[in-house]
Order: sequence, then structure tokens, then C-alpha cells
Amino acid sequence: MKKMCEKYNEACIKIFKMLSLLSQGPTKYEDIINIFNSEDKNAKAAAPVILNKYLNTLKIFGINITKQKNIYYLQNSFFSLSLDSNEIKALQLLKGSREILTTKKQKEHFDKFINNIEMRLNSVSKDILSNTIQDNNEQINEYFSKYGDLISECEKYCYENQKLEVSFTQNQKEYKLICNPREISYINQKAYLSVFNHISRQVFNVPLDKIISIKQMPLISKGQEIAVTVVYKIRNNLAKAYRLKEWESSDGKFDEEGWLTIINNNEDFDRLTKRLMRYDYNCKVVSPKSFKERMKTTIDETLKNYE
Amino acid sequence: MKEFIKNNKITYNLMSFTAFKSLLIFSLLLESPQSYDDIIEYFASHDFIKEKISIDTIRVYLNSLKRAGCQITKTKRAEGGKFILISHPFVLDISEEQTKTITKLCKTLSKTLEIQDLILLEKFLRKISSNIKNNSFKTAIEKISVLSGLEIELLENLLNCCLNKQQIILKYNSPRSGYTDLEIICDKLGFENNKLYIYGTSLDYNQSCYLLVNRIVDIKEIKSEKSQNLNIEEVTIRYTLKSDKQELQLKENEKIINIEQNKILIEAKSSNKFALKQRILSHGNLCTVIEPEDFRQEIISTLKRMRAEY
Repeated sequence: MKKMCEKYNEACIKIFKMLSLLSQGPTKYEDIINIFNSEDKNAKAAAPVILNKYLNTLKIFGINITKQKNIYYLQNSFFSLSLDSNEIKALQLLKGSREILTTKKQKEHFDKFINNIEMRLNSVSKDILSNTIQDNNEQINEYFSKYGDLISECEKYCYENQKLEVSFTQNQKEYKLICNPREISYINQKAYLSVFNHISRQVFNVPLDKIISIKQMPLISKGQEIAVTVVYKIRNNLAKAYRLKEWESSDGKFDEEGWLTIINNNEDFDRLTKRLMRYDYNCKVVSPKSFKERMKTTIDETLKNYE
Repeated sequence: MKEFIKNNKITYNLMSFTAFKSLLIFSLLLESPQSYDDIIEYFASHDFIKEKISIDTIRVYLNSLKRAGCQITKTKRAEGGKFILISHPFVLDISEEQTKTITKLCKTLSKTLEIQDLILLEKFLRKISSNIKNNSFKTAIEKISVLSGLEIELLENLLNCCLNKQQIILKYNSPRSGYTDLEIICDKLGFENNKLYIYGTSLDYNQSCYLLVNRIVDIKEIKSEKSQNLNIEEVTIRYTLKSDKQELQLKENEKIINIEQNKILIEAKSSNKFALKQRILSHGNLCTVIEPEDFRQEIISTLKRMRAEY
């Protein structure tokens, strides 16, 4: 057994404990002073003086700590992060997009993340940061300040998982959908409420800016959301270069006629129709019958445009 | 340095020398691996300390650092018997909640930012990930990143070529013919169905082209001058689209000619007929090609062939 293993410095443990607490973010005076408190009454009285001694030690070492309203803030750290001007620009871009976050909690976590990084920046990076103007990402912030409330409302619906009656417009027609909320998704710089309709067993992406009203029903859907699986085939160069989407699978085998079968779950049927139409005669829907009919109807109606 | 404050009963040092020394040893190990001799020499020549420190004392400091959460190992005597700081409690630590928040924010940003800013953000997040002690942040960011798996340096070079509209030769992993050299005049980088493409003019095919960036292996050559007198034939088509103007998302090569109730007349120009055809077909029954007649006929015959598959 090593003799010296057991020996250690109390002062070393305390200063590192203190730094460790401060590294996690703003720290209350009570938490810091607890490190220096002990059972002994006299030692308890001396704790604030000892704390000052340790604060001085850190200051002399070059670690700055500020105190505001009984809370200590670590201004720099041992672990220094060196960011160049482009990386600082990205940090500012991130800071400028804070408004995208819809809840107070998310904003708190975000602020902690930023603080964690900024606290660790070395002096050169700090200089760059102070000389870089925050990019307020106006276009995005404008969109989110307009739809931010609706986004957080929809996030709440998704969390509560109760059935919804969503009224929305599409191509100047009004639609009503009884559905289960799934998530908020973003396509082409716009937010969508992704919902599942049990009757059609389809996923719909409803654009938030087209929503007229949302009624939350008292029912929580316990049934399984098994979406209709669409099976389609592709061939030629399309099949050779095709990259499966997250929600797709394939055995990768080509049949005798050179077709590759793709199994698709959970894609909004409008989007899927548009996508498969683009693949022209290098694609054909195998099942379900309803979606196959839909493709046929779309082709027939498009052909009618030319009669 | 040795100052004292005095009250009536006790005299306190203004600072803790033991704590100060432990900070010094820690920062020394942060810089590089150190042997006993290195540490002894450092203390002896330190401006303020200037004292001889024993090996036993150093051992106590190292034990204390381990107790404080540092992981320290020692190399073999033949390798210099140096102490290496493997990990410590002050590295960037991002909580699970912070990771969730940042990934949510980045997921939204990835659908809204311009490619230049996306590259900046990706580079920044990759750097932050490499400085975090656990892997969960890195994994979460990789999962949602639209640039995941792409080489940032290559992306930056491609972006520069696009900004300067440069003529380059690319090594491309073509699904049809394997590794091929392609010569293009770069135009822009952009997303289509969540995939990143480089758009430009192909000198091999004399038409506009778009190539999947994740199939580009390398930029083999950046030409100092662009080829002159390119014989590129551009097609202009006109089509009507039944759509609400507000919902319409025009491509850069498209412009509105006329709006009549819900019917919008659009003109599109491109040297890539295939891309034009794909665009028209994706509109489905909402779209009718008006002119030119040969392109109109091509669409009709494609639709007929599509129908015949059923």
C-alpha cells in the first residue's frame, strides 16, 4: 500500500470544489460559504474571512469572480476556449436566434449554454466577441415573433397529446381535421404542425400560417398511430442514386425488371405525391390501393389539362 | 505578496498559499505532461514562490488534485516519468436539457439559414462538441445537422468557388459511372429535399446542372479563367399554376408573367430540360405547360408513360 496516497491538502480540495461549483454557472453565496463552514462554531464565524482568502488566491492567480446580489459569477476559467472571428460570428448568430425558443425554460437552458461558452473564452476571443455585432437574424425573428405564440401553443398540444380539431386553409379551401398532434416540423423556412389522422391513417403537415383555429378535445388517444405504409418502386439512375429518407426502408435488391422497392412510412401524402410525380415513369406505387388510386387520379387529371 | 490583515484576535493570510500552489501544479499539467523534476524546477524559479518543493509534497498535491476530480496518470520511467492530466472538472459540460434546447434551435435554424451561415454554425458546433467531455452533445448535433458527414473544408472551398463563379474540375462519385472528373462553372449551393447540391453549368454536357455535394470527393482544379463561347442552349417555358400567390415558392429561374384569379402564368428559363420537367411534374394537376409546343408534348408523353405503368 502506498504510504502517501492517503495524504491530501484540504486547501486544494476546497479551492477546486469552489471552482467546480462556479464553473457550473452563477452560484449563490450560501452554496459557496458552505464549503468553508464546519461544525466548529469558531470556524463557522471565520468562514467569510476564509472565503475572502480563497477569492484573493484565485484573483492573484488570474481567475476573476464577480459578485452581484449575493450571487458569484465566474468571469474566466482554467479551461480556455479559443474561437476565431468566424466562430464568434456563429456564436452571435446563435444568440441572435434566441427568440425561436418558445418557453422560458428553453431560454434559461440556452442562456446557460451561452454563459458556459463565453465564460471559457480566452482573452483574444473575448475581444473579438465584444467587437462583433450580434446578428439578430431579423427575418427569422420576425417569423417567430409572429408565430411564436402559436408554436408554443402547438408544442403544448403535442406534449398533452389530446385529440385536436384543426381548421386550416389550403388552396383557398377550408379543411377540418380530427387528429393527434405529433410535433412541430420545419420545411422551407416555415413551421408546420405535424398531425396524425386515425381515419385515413395519414400524417399531415399543416402550415402554421394557414391554421384558422385549433380546438383541443378532452380525449387522449391511446390507440397506436400506425400510419399507412406506402410501397413504391423506382428504377434506372434514380434507383442507383436514391438515398433513403429517415422514414424509409428497402432491402436494396433490384428485381428482374430493374425495379427497387421502397417502403415509406409517415410522409405527408401531399408531399409524397409531389415527390413521386417528379420521378416520372421511373417510379410506380405498389400499395396501398388508395394511394395508388390517388397517383393514377393525379396523372389522369394532369393529362386532362392538356385535352 | 505576504500581506496580512489583522483584527484583535486572529491574523489571517490574505491568500492561501497551499491553494495557490495546487492551482499552479494544475495549470502546469494543463499545459503539458510534467515530471517531478519539471515541477520542482518550476517552483524554484517561480517569481513569487521561489522555494524548493519536495517530491513527497508534490505527491500530496497530486493526490489532492485526484480527490478534487482530476484524472492523472504517470508515464513509465523510461518515458520520462511524466504526470499527464487526462481529465478535470472544468471542461465544458453541457447538460441534457441544454443539449435538447440547442438541438431544437439548430434544427429550426438548419431550415431557415443561408448556406454560408449554416457552414459557420456547423463549424462552431463541431468545435464546441470536441471540447465537451461527454459525447451526447456531439451525437445529438450530428443527428440533426443537415451538413452531417460533409467535410467542412470542402464545403467552404465549394462555397468560395460559387461566390466567385469559378470554373472547376471536380472528382465526383457518380452512381452511374463511378469516380468521374466533371468540369463545371459554379453558381450556388442549395438544399432540395434536405440534400445539399451544387448548382452550376456543366461543361461536359453544355447545360445547367446540379450535383449532390456528398458525392463530391474533391476539387481537383480551380481554373484561373472561365471558358469563353460556351454553346449552352437555354429553354424558356411558360406554364400556368393554380395556386394562391402567397403560397407560391418561385425558383430563381422563374418569374410571374400574369395573375388571373387563381391562375398564375410563370416563365422559367433553364438549360437543363430535365430539371424543368421535374419541376413541372411535381406540381401535378395544378400545372399546365403552355409553351413551347415540343416541351408541352414531352410532358404529355411522359404523363402517358407514367399512366401506362399502372
